[in-house]
Amino acid sequence: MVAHYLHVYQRPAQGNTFIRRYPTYNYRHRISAVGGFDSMSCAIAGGDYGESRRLIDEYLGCRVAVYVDNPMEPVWEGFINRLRFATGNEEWSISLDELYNRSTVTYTTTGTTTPANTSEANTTNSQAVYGIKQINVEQGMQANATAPNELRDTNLAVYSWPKATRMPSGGRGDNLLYIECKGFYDTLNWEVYTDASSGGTTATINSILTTGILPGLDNGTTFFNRADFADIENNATSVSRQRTRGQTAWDIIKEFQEMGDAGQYWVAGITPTNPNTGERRFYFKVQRTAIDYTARMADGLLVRDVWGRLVDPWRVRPDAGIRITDQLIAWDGLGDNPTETWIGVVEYDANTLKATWRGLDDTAAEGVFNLRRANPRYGRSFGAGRRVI
Amino acid sequence: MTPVTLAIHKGIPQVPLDTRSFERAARDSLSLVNANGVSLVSWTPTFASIKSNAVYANSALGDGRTPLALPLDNVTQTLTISVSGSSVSGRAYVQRRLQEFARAAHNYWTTNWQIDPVWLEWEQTPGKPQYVLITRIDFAWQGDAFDVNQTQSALMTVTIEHLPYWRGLPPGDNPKKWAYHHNGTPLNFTSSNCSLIATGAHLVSATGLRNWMTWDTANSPYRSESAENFIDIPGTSVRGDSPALLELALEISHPSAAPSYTEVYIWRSSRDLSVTDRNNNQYSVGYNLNGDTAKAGGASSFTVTAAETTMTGKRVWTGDQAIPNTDLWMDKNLLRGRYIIFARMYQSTAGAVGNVRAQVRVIDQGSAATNTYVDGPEVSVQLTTALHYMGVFNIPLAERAEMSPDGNGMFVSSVPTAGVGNIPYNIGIQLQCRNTAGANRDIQFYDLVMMPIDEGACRLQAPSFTASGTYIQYLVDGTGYLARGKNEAVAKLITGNAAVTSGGPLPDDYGGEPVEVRGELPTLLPGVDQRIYIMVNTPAQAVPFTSPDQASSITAWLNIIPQWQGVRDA
Repeated sequence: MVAHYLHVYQRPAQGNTFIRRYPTYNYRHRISAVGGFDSMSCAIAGGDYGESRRLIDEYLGCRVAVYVDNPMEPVWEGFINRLRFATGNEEWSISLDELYNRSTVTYTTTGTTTPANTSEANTTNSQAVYGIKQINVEQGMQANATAPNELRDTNLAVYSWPKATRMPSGGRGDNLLYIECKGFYDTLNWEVYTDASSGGTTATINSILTTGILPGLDNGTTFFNRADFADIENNATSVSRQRTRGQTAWDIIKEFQEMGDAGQYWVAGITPTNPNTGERRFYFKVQRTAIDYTARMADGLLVRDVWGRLVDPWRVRPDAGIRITDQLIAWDGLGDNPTETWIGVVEYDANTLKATWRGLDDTAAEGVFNLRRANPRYGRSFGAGRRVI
Repeated sequence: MTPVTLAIHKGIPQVPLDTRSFERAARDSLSLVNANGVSLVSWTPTFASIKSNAVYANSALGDGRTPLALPLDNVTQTLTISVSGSSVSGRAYVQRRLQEFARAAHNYWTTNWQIDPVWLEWEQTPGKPQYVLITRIDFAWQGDAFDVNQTQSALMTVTIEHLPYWRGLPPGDNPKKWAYHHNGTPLNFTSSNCSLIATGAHLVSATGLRNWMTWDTANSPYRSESAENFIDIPGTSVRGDSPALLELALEISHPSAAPSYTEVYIWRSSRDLSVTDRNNNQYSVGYNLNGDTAKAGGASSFTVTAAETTMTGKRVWTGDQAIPNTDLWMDKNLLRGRYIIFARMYQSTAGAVGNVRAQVRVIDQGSAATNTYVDGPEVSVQLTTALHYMGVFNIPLAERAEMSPDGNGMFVSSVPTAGVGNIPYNIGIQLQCRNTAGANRDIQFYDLVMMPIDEGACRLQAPSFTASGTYIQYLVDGTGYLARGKNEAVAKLITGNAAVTSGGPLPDDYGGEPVEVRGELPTLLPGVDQRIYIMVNTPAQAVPFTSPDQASSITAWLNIIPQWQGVRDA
């Protein structure tokens, strides 16, 4: 068994310095084809009660990386989004979920039809610690900007800093600090993207991504390099530029990703840190259809490579195909091949050393995967009938 | 046979003749064998066993179950001791002493302020004591408080939980002390020679190490190395029945000014560099695949033309190529393992990072790129000399070893013998490149570095610093010395950082700069010949490797603390 170590670094908005590493307990992570590193949870042991209580404040928002056997590539990375510490009778908790240090309100002035946004109000001290995280509230029809501005300022005052909460924990306390993390793609939800172009103005998706959304992120290179477009594949679909409904960058990217292009399913998210450049970047590309993995029903679907060698479960990645090799082995390729699956999500649990994979709720991804693997269904229920010569 | 010693101790042993440290002059001890009215009545030693929650793959569709992780659990020893004396105060004394050790042991694990380990010493064979870190102590009286006949002695049950492995030295002790024990001169260990970062009687030392390995070409097949990047550790140096804890100090020196090496890679390999088959033929292999025929760490250059827009093999190691070097036997069994592969190279033509993309291809069964192969990820070639991470690869691709279809078991290929030097091969490795710039780009290529990670590997990552002087020193410790007894790997940059060494004239004055340890610091296998490899790197240095790296050399001082799951035997 190889230990899983949590490496804690400074908050991305503050720096990149290593702070400390901890052995983890009950480690789990999830990696998604759409998003990238998605979520991770584990527990660490503070040196004592006081240290655990103190780390609740000090570690919120910090960058983390989890190393197992490969010192070059962490198996998961992101930032600490929530910390919990059970003292015995009560549980302390702190989270970034309700932290917002930029506030705007969307409203529509009576007698008009186009929504407008208030100007931004910012708490720059908080932004310098955690990065920019925006709240945008839809306030409906308003006579003028007075009420929206009030709401904007109130929200800013209330949410600018994280607040620890506590609640009864039923007498359970283990002196462990529970850590819940999110991947960096989540920060695309932190900023609202607005383009006031008229409704008829269009642009290609590539253009909107590379000249609008990504350059417009005020978090700059804090969480990833917004100016590196090397993993953005060409999607020339023309869409409306106008964005005034308070959508976040990720809302719009998901819109594009689900739309796809030319019958292809697309994925989007943030890459792992490149071990050679130390840089993360945004990706937007066609779903992969190569079979990277195999598994056998006989041993409980342990993930193997195409040669049959066991893959360390912490190393399994989504956006790849997997083939079950000991069921339906005589499948002739007609229709949706049930032995091959596109991996949309990988969930790994260190306690069981098991990587569980699954597709997406959106079955289109699996369908397109099989179509593109040259297994089109051509029975009576799908498309043209079989041609008999 | 009665144990010679069975005692509970608290504290780090003091180095003899030491006058400078804050360690307490005498450690607190309680003997459980015939001392101060306490004597051991019965004890059946218990040894570590697999945890009850070990992990198995267990399918309802297949026979049996497959182990995935079999870690050892802590050990609980149950001792019965006799406390002589009928007075309540006599019994209370022993109870109070046990309670002191119990409280100290529990606080050692659950607080930050109690930093003195509590440990058990057991000497079953005279002269062979062994030590283990205690995690918990419980005790209970036997007998009835109303028993009027219990006048002379009282029995007591002491339960001690400890870590799975016994060590050859007390937890937190200076690992260099073991070298003196190993050499039969334990009394010679004093404060004058206890330094971990100075020349002296370390268990194993190596000087003049380089950042790569090359064979001495005077003999073919090759029998000795002209440059080494590893420390040879004979199996006789590693005692015990379990993996030994490792402490390693590195001094990287340069004739004029030491580069600011911020990355140190350390890995272990117990696989043979050379093997001799049944016909007495010797075969040699290496983990550095050079780009030229000189095999001296120098650069070779090649051009990735504008027309090469798809991956094209630019350097091919199969044993039948004139360039690069052909001295290595590209054999699946000699090379078997799981590797990180690095490429040391850079783009020497002006342009941008990523004008040239590179990948490593590992080809099974011969030289043809169309055979069975695995490609690593595409990597953007940097503009300054850099250690490019090219991915993780298994060799051979399918099985853990290549077995002879003739039924002879594992074998090293002897044919084909075509090509330059008649070098056999059954696996190929390629460095492939493609051009994304639309104009020719030149690549300066040094070597591929194969770093096995299946036996333990780690990377020390120091913060950026400005080097001062002609050498820098790293110290990494997994023996518990720097962690006050706990099994945590701790690394420090000791000397060479201008910002740190300004703290005082001696390392004692500043302690060193904390360094991040990524991965697992290797342990050493008992009784097995093995090597600890070292590689240093400075990311994005402006000067190619040929200048600072070739002039740098590494001195390594290695110490261990052996471990036993059972009774110490050496």
